[in-house]
This record gives sequence, C-alpha cells and structure tokens, in this order.
Amino acid sequence: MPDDVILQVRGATKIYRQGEVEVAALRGVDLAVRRGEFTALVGPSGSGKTTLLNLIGALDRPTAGSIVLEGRELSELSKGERSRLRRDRIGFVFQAYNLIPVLTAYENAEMVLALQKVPAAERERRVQGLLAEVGLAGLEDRRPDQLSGGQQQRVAIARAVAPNPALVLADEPTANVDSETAERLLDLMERMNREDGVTFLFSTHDPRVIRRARRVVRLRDGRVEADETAVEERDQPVA
Amino acid sequence: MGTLLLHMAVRNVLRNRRRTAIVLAGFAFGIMFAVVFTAIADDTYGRMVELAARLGGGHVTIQHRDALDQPAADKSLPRADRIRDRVVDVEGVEAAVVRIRAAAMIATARESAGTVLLGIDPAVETPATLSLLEAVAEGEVPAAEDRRGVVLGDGLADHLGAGVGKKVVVTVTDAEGEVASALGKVRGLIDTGAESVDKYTALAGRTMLASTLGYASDEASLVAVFLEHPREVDEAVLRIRAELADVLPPDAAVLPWYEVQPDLAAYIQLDSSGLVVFEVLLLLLIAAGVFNTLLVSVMERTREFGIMMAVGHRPADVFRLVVLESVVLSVMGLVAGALVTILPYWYLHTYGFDMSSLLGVDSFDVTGVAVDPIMRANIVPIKLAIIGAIVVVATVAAGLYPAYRAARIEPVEAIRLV
Ligand SMILES: Nc1ncnc2c1ncn2[C@@H]1O[C@H](COP(=O)(O)OP(=O)(O)OP(=O)(O)O)[C@@H](O)[C@H]1O
Ligand SMILES: [Mg+2]
Repeated sequence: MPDDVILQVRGATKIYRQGEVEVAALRGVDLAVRRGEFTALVGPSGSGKTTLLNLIGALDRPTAGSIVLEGRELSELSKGERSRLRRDRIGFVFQAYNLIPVLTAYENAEMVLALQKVPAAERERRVQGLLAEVGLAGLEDRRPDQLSGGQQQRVAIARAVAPNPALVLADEPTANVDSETAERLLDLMERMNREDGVTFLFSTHDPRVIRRARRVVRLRDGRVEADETAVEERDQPVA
Repeated sequence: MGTLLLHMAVRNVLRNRRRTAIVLAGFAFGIMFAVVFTAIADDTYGRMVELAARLGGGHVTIQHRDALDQPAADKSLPRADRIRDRVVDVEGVEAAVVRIRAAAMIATARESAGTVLLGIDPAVETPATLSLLEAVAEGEVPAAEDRRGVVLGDGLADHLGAGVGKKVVVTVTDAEGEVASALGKVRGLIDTGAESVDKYTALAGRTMLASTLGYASDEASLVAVFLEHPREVDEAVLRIRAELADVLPPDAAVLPWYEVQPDLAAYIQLDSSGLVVFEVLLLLLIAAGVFNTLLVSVMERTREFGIMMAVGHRPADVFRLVVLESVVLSVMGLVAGALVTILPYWYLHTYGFDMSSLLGVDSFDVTGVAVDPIMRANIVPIKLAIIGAIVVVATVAAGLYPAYRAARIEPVEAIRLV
C-alpha cells in the first residue's frame, strides 16, 4: 500500500567536513516508514541515528539523496517552509531538556498549537486531554524544574503529539531516565501509537526499549545493517 | 502566539533576578541623574532668562531693527507708548514698559566713565520689570517728576567718586548726532553683586533722558515685554508681530530675548550641549548594560532557542522574543527610574539646594546676569518625554544584536549541546 508510506528516504548521505577531515555520518540510507508504525532506530554510538533523524525532521540537509515526507521532497523546501513543516507535520522529542524552562507544563504542551494559531478553546481542550493522557493531570502549572525527568519527557511527548503530526521523531527519549521510567514512557508511546494512531520513529541503545519496538532498523557506520519487523508481537495493522 | 511570547519575555527577564536587578539599578540611577541634572539646568536657564529679562530688555524686546548692531540715539522707536498700550493686550503678555537706553558719559570734576544709561518711568517700573530696582543699596530711585536725578551702580560711583547727593554731568550724542549734556544729581546707588553690571549701569528718569536726546514725547528706545510663560517666547513673538502689525513702525523689530542677549543664549546652548553629552554617555552606559545582559542571556539559552526553532518557531519569532525582552526591560527600567527619581526631584523642586556654602559666594554671574546659587529642579516637560523615549529606544537598540544572534542559532547545533 504505497499510500501508507509517509516517509521515503533514498540514498541519504551526510558528510561532515571539519577542515581537511571528512566524516561520513550517513552513507546512502534507504528507509520507508508507513503510517502507524512504531519503529526503533538502533545502532552503536556514532552510527548516524541522530544525523538521520535530523535529516528526516528537516532540521538539516543531506549531502546527497532524497527525503520525501508526505509527498514533499524536503530538499526543495525553503527555510520558512521547513519551519512550517516541522511545526505542522513533525513532532520532536529530544533526549532531555526539551522544555522551555519559563513555561509551565501546560504552556509547553500548548506552545506549538499557539504557534499554529489554534483557537484558545480548542487548544485548551486538546492540551488538557493530552496532559491527562500522559498522566500529568494536576501538574499543569508546574515549571519543568518542578517535574521529574520522566514527567518532563511526558510533557515533551504531549507537545510533540498535540498538533497531530504525521510523524513523531524521538532521539533517545529514554536515555536520561531510569529503566522503570523508561518502561512507563514506552507504555505511553505505545498506547498513543495503538489508540491514537501516532507514528513513532525513535532512536535508542537500550535493549529493553528495543524489545518494545514493532520494527527495528539497525544502523552501523552510516548504513542500514538490518531492518526487522517483530512478527510474533505484531498486532493487527493499524489503519 | 502573542500572549505566550509576552509571557515568555517577561519571565525570561525575571529569570536571573540578580542580573536584572543590576541592570534596573543602572536604569534607575541613570534616569534619575539625567532627569535631575536636566531639571536643574532647565531651572537655572529659566532663572537666567528671567534675570536677563529683568535686567533691561524683557522676554521680548520691541525696538529699532538696527539698534542691536548700531546702538545710537537715532535708532529710536516712535509711538512707543502706543505700542506698549497695545502689546499688553496680547495673549500671554504680563507687562510691558517703555525705556530709553543710551550710551552716556558720566563725569564728575575728577573722573568720567562710559555707561549704559537707562531711562525709565519710575512710576511703572518695579523689581519685576527691572531687577536693578531691588538692588538699590543707598538713596532711592528718582521720582517721576524728578528731571535731574540719576542712580549709579556702586562700582561706577566708586570710580567717579560720586556718592548720593553729588552732581554729575551726563553727556550723550543726540538724535541729530550732536553732543548734548545735562546736569544730574545722584539720588541713589545700586549694588547687584555682579561687578560687570555695577560698573557700567546708570538709571535716570525717562523724561530727563528724552529731553537730552531730543526725542519726541512718545519716542523711546524700546518696549520691554514680559511674558506669563517665558518658555513660550517664540509663540509670543509671532503673536505680537501679527497683532501689532498696524502700529509697529516699518523699521521696528520684535525680538525674543535670545536675539537680544546672544551671549546668554550661547552660554545656555553650550551648557546644555555639555549636558546632552553627559546624558548620552549615561544612556550609552545603560544600553551597554542591557546589551551585555541580553547577549549573555541569549548565549545561555542557545539550546532553548534551538528547541523553539526545531518545533516550528521561525528565526523571526525568536528575534521578536528577544526584542520583546528588551522592551520589557526598558519598561521596567522606566518604572524603576521613576520610583528612584521622584523623591529627589520633589525635594529639589520644592526646597532646592543652597550651593552658596559650597561655592563660597552669594551669587555668580553669567554674561552679566547674576544667578543666585540655589539649585532647583524644574524640568521642561517635553524633556522628560525625550529622556523616556531615548531610554526605550536605546534599550531596544541594544537588544537588536542579541536578538539577531538568537535568531541565527542553528537548531541542529544547539540541540547537540545538552
Ligand atoms: N556536526 C558534526 N560535525 C562533525 N561530525 C559530526 C557532526 N555530527 C555528527 N558527527 C559525526 O557523525 C557520526 C554520526 O553521528 P550521530 O550523532 O548521528 O551518531 P548517533 O548514532 O546518534 O550516536 P549516539 O548514539 O552517540 O548519539 C559520528 O561519527 C559523529 O562524530
Ligand atoms: Mg545520537
């Protein structure tokens, strides 16, 4: 079902130049992601996970290759169009310190919606619902420094999901929390994926997190080394 | 986005309280010094102008248009009394008096000296129109019908060796260019404290001087006009020119004090440009503080700006946020400035500060105008608005570069920094 493919990466190459030295972070990555996937991007440190997520998230441009998100070739977009695309179609969750320190949990979750000029009432309905869904009801007015690491990541997930993006990119979302908290975050992401149809692409080194993914893409030295879909655990395909 | 951005700006400014407090203290004291010094200068200038006006020419002088450059008896003002009667009806005019001013030689048997002899009507002049009258140290001003009486500055009297009761010969060049003399009798002495005044000034009755000069009965040198609001001299001059067009002789000029007393005007100009330099320096210091604070805070927030841009803010949004922070800072600065300024201003406005013990003199004179050494604050209101506007503009200008730096942050790089 090609209609289901929201992301098509072909031959993505990224070479960093530092003076004379060239570092090939990605050497021709091919990857297709379908709507509703729950995919882990794994690989040793330096294998290119962050680089690939940055290219897919229109934060950076590939040296060669093409990245098509929802039918749009990212390299053809202007700076302003890339900003808008990130705002409207992509959710981001980073490893840590995702939140704006002076804004409350509620305001952080609301931020992208406000940027989209979603009417206040609609914004409030969605943000309240989401904060309850991520288990933060009652903590809306807390600042990030009054929240635990896991709670902060939940706010970040709420913020990423709020605008109904095509794809949520999460770069090691559990790297800075303990394993129990990591499991709870995975529970949350999994539930959002299953119940709300949110498409996740997340990177990780953690074997326990990898186990929770339905599809695992392995990178090594900037190439896709393996791409496995866990057959035995797979639920019914998500529409 | 508007209100969320504003919330962010306010909270960001309050985030590092100590740093913000230091910047605000800079604002507060900078504004206080700027306002207080400007206010003291404005008050001093106001009093100088007032004193200068009362020293001879009024706030507005109506005289022959060549009298400034070539003062001579023939540069007279005909119909002076009619002009005076008309000008007092012009809006904003408080009083007007007719005077004759002549270069005169005053001599005793032993000595002689050149003076500026002012012929006045003692019946209408008061210290409010002629400050010399409050400086009468000995004797008195001649009465209206007195056709011989003169009053000398005490420096002049010393030089001539002529005390009260002594006879002097007053010699002038009359309207025809002939030398004319009259016998005078010293009725009083004047001590203004300003040497340049006391050494060269003499007073006489207008009638005595008019007859010596050969003037017609309503002919004089000038009409000195006093205004209710001396700061509005330019408007008053225009009104007088317009409303008196039918009585003013064609060669008469209506002049503001600063054209009649260019020395004083130049002094004020120079003094206030010194003040402007001082204030600009002060505001530059404030701006430097704001610049430094915002730049440091932008650098510290690199990751935050990176996140904002990653999730869809445009560089322009980030730029706007930092500029908004500088606006918030400037508004807080104005409030801090007002709070710190209000008390010293009120005190200096109400009570003033007596500098005589510091200066060791009772008065000092500027281009012949004696100024009493009480510092008072009395700012021209528009200058308050200008200082406020400059503070805001300087602060926001100081925020532009930090804002630009924030907008140029690359999210990929910023997010790598944890
Ligand atoms: N800005 C950069 N300049 C130069 N080299 C870079 C830059 N960013 C990444 N690299 C290099 O590119 C390669 C891939 O880096 P990347 O961060 O994508 O790996 P990663 O899989 O995310 O690693 P980790 O698990 O440690 O996060 C590494 O060799 C890294 O040193
Ligand atoms: Mg990485």
